[in-house]
Amino acid sequence: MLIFKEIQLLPEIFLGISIIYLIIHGTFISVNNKYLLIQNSILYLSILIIAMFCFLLLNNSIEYNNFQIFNNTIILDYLSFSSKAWIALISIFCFLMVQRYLAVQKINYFEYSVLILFALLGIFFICSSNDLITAYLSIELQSLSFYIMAAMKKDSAFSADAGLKYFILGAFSSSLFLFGSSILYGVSGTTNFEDLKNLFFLTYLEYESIYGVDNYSFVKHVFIDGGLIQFALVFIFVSLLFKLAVAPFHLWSLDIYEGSPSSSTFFFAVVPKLAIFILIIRIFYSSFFEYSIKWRYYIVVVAMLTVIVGSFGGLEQKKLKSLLAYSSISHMGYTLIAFSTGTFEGMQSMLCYLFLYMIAGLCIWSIFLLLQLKYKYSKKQNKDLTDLNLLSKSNNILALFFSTVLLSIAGLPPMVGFLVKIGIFLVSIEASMYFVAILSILCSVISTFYYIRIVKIMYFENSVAGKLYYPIQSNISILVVCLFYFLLFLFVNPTLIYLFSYKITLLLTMTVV
Amino acid sequence: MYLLLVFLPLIGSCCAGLFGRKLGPYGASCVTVTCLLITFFLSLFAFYEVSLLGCCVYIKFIPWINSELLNVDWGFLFDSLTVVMCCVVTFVSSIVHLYSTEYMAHDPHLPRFMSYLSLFTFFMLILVTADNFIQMFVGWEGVGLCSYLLINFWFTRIQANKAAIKAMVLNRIGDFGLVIGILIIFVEYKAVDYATVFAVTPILTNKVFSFLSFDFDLTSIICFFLFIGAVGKSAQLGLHTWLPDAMEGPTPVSALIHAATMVTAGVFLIARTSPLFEYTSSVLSLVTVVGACTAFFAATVGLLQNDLKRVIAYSTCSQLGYMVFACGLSNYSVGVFHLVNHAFFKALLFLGAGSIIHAVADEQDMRKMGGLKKLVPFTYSMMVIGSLALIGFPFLTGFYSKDVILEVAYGKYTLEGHFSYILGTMGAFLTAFYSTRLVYLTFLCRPNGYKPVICKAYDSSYQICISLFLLVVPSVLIGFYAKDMIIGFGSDFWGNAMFTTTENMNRIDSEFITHIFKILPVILSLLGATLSFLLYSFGSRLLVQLKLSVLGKKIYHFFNKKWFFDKVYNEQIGQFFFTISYTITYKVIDRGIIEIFGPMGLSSIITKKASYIAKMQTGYLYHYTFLILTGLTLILGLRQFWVFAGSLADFKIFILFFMLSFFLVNKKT
Amino acid sequence: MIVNLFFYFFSFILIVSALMTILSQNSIYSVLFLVLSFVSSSSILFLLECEYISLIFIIIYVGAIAVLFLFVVMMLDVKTVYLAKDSLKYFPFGSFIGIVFLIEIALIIPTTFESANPYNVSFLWNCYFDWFNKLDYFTEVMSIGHLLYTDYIIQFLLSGNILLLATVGPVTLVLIRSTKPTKTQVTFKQLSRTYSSVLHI
Repeated sequence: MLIFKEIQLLPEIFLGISIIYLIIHGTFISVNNKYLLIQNSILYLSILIIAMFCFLLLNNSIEYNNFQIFNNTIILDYLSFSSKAWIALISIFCFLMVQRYLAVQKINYFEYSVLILFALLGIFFICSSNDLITAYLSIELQSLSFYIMAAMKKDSAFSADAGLKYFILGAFSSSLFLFGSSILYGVSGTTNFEDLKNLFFLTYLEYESIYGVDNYSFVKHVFIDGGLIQFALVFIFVSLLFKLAVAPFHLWSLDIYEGSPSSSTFFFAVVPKLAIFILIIRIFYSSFFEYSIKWRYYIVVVAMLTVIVGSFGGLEQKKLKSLLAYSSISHMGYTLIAFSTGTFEGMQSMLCYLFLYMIAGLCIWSIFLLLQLKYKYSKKQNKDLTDLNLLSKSNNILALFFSTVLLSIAGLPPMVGFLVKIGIFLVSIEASMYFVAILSILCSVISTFYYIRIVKIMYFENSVAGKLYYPIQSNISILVVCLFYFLLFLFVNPTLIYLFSYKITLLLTMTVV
Repeated sequence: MYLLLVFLPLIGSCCAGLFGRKLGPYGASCVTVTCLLITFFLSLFAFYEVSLLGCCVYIKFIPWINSELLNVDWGFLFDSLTVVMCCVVTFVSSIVHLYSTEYMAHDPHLPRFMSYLSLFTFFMLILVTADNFIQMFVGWEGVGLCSYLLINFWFTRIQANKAAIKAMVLNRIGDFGLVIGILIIFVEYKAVDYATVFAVTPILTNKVFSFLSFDFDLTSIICFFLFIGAVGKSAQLGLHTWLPDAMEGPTPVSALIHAATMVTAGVFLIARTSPLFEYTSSVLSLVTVVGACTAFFAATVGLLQNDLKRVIAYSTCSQLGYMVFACGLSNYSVGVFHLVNHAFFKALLFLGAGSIIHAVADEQDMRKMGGLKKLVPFTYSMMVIGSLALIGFPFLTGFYSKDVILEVAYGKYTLEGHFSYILGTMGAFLTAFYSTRLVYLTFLCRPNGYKPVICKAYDSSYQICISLFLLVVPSVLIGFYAKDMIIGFGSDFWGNAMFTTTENMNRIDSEFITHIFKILPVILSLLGATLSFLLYSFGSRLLVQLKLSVLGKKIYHFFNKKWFFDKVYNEQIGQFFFTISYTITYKVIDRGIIEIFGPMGLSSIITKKASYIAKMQTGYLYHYTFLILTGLTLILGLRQFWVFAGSLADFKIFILFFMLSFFLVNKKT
Repeated sequence: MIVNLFFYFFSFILIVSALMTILSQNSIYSVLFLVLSFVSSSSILFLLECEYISLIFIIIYVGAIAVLFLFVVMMLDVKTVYLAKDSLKYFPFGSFIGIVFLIEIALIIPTTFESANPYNVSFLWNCYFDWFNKLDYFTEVMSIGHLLYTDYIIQFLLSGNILLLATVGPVTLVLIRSTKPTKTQVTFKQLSRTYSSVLHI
């Protein structure tokens, strides 16, 4: 009963208990011989649970407070609060969009929603983890459910392949994380971010004044050179980058996005990235800010590589899904560029970009899921680019929506995507990373090509007849339109997202200093 | 009032230009002429207030450009120089407006014409009233534009088009120099307004301006480029060829733009920037030499031209040379005084020429005129007065300024002073010769034109006559009355508008030069006039023989073809640039390098790179694992690299590697 | 001293057996080497006086997981794979990367610990005396339990969740619910049936 003393964690506890209840409920019903299809009802229940989670979260109202509970292993500040709320909101939309796809693809297992809930629980814990152990466990919880979600389409060999690959590579990256953490623990004797921050907060000069330079060599090596610390940080960093699918570690994402069912891909692409970034912020920005001069360089190199790969790789893709995968890779690159500046504005524009990335991803993937080809014999789930042929003729509104979102994420001026992207370029220029800015702008130009190609296919393709699609349910279409208007609204009033991220960054840096 | 003075012509121009269709030709002319007349009276008032009462007016209107160090305002500076220029410009302009209402009456585009004229006046006023270089440049370009529009007014004529384009292109060369000058001023002074620049100049006299590791004296290089601008605008030797060709435009335009106002902008510029020029003796020498050469050269060419207007155009060119070398000799006030006088009598000459041309059915060749004395007596008398003023006949306007110029040239006692004196004096002789030739061929000799033309020749009606008469008055009187005021000893007329260092001041010296050199120019001009009159009256046979002799033919050809300037420009320089622009910039750079690096090459490289990246996605698990390990090793290696060589290596070198990787991969595949 | 020698011995065995797990071409041998590496690592844990964890390690990994592996390998009857051809292709670059990686690690770790650490001078003769153990006896299970149920309760619950997920997930993946496929008429299939393709004698 110790756990209930810390009432601030109520939303997560509620979520965990609900998951267990859902499993019991589902199992009892589905062991019946009659075998009821409870997929839908469980899905709606999950939505309800997430909504309740949101409600509990908002009720907590910990706006400006900064709690550290459970032996300082869980942190509840504005960053975790807002990111949790945002992720919960996005995931509600995800649930709604996915429902029809699951029905069509005959993924009739109630466990699917439960798995998503598990993943969300993990993600929420990542957002508020303040300890390497908690971070590791929550990442594992999240990835484990993702592995299973990737393999969920049992009649497809691709899906199984994706699940297996994801599992093995994920385990590999987890081992890297553990290795780094163990070195960190070995050097410092703590796994807590707060303690690490206190340990490594002093600057070189301060250490010199306290210990003298050569008096105690261990201190000099560990704290001033920081060789081993950096070594450990690189391992942790690489493992987190793997989760983000960033350039040298991106190859899994293409296969897995391709192979797994689109509903799972939707989740992989949209939901977890923000949480991983929050973990990166907590480790690198909050705890090890003193080493920022060192880690900045790795991040810049990786970010540049990512942007280049993301924008070049997409050019040759014929499948819509892998194209979107490359697009998300390049977006992660831009976000990392903003992060690598290590400045206040960098953090802010990074958060802006991530929020917008999630909305845009939500829009694109929901359109992707809603477009059901009218094929009688094969339920092709993986669309070629040519399947969008002349969408403007058959479904004008959807085509308009799709092209608007694409242009927005391509960063064309009148869209909100342009504003956040230019924010990143400006930030990198302010941090005097001119070459990085120039290169990333050039890559952005290249990547614009493949976004515009989709628009061209939808509108100007030189063929007589396009493909036919099933009509979209009216209630879902209302949701899509809402998303569209939200995007437009952000364009009209970008201060909303700007101020939101500004507040987060402000409160974050207040706790850092 | 001062703002109204500047903007009234613009209002008139807008009315006539935008609503000309509604107003009709009569309405448009009324509006513009009224506006100009009001402007003229306003500028007279300004003249009274600023010059005579001696209170300068400085108006900071509104900020225009405000970007870090570059602060440019719309500001208006009215000092003596400005108001004198204003008076001249508005006076000649209003006369020309009045004149045009009749001269262009038959033209259906009269409102457009009037609008252009007013617009020109507006820009000219902007030019002279500006308080900074940028605004001055606006006016400078504006008058260039209007000049183009007006030369090209009859845009259906191919000759007019050619002349307009030529004027534009040659002016561009000068403008380019001016822009560079202004830019250097901005770079070094961090300011572009006159007050700051002139005040700071004495401090920066010995400063060195480095460009591409060449060192220049700062003031000299600025003045050199400003002078190039002046050369372009004032049609000095080298960039003069556009001025005679610009005579393709309507005659009032020639009178206003290419005689009285716009071409004198170069002289105005030199006078205005006298605080800069004063600190650079080398450029002053250059100015003197170029001015003197122009004065002599244009006079020789004018000697043997047959087109009525071209003769006057070359005489303009020659007189501009006088003004420029007067400025080069640091006697800016004398230069400006000559400018003022010249504006009046040259406008008179041009308008008179227009009247003649009107009378003989748009014939411009002097050889086809003659005997018009009886037919157009009024114009005849006007032309004679104008020519005498131009020659420098004693006690007429030209006499007062031209002689002073030559006196100060001799009184300089330097090499370039004597050089300019000799050339100027010879120029004066030639001027007298060709002016008399003009008058004689047009009016006095036997009629050579077609009979129907001669029969129908008549004097023009009121507007033309009034305007001619109005111009005669200052042509005769202004020199006498204004001499003491403008260039007299101890006159504080100019105030601080123009600046001469004490070592360059030589007005007193010039008063005490040998008497013979003082009266030599007058004697020579009178001699030239008489000689020309006698030769054309009685020695025409001699002239023909002279012309037909072998040497005479060559000389005639040489002068008639304007010293082959156009030929050299067109065939050598023009052709050269055409060849370069086709073979190098178009064929090699545009279609070659840019094509290879741009659309063709880069896109193919990018697609190749893209397929290379896409190929990494093999689908094998151990490849992926291996790549992760490689990436990890790479990052750790980078760390180690920075530990060892971080201080030596530059981050930018990776950019180089990245760029190289494009081409390496390209070669392999 | 003997403890330190044991440490070296078991580490050596651990490394060799881990290498052999990858290198051996018979999968049964691989599994057996895996078991060996588990045993040796648990012995190292034993030397570090983490008796409970080392025992748990042996029970779970050797007793359950490795045996499970062995069963699976035997049941699947995986043929021995000849890696020689492929490994030759990847050997140069792979070993290069591996060596670079090792060098990087080797460069870091000694520089950090080369210091005047009192235990570093004579590592072989290191026999430090655990005063805490002598004075305040507290079994390991107890201490772990104390920690798990107080300070790290939320982590404990999280691992519980992970275990739950790990049971639910595989069951979901493996479970095939008996849904009868609906019988539909496929015209193309029907038409493409020919006499010769159907009848077999």
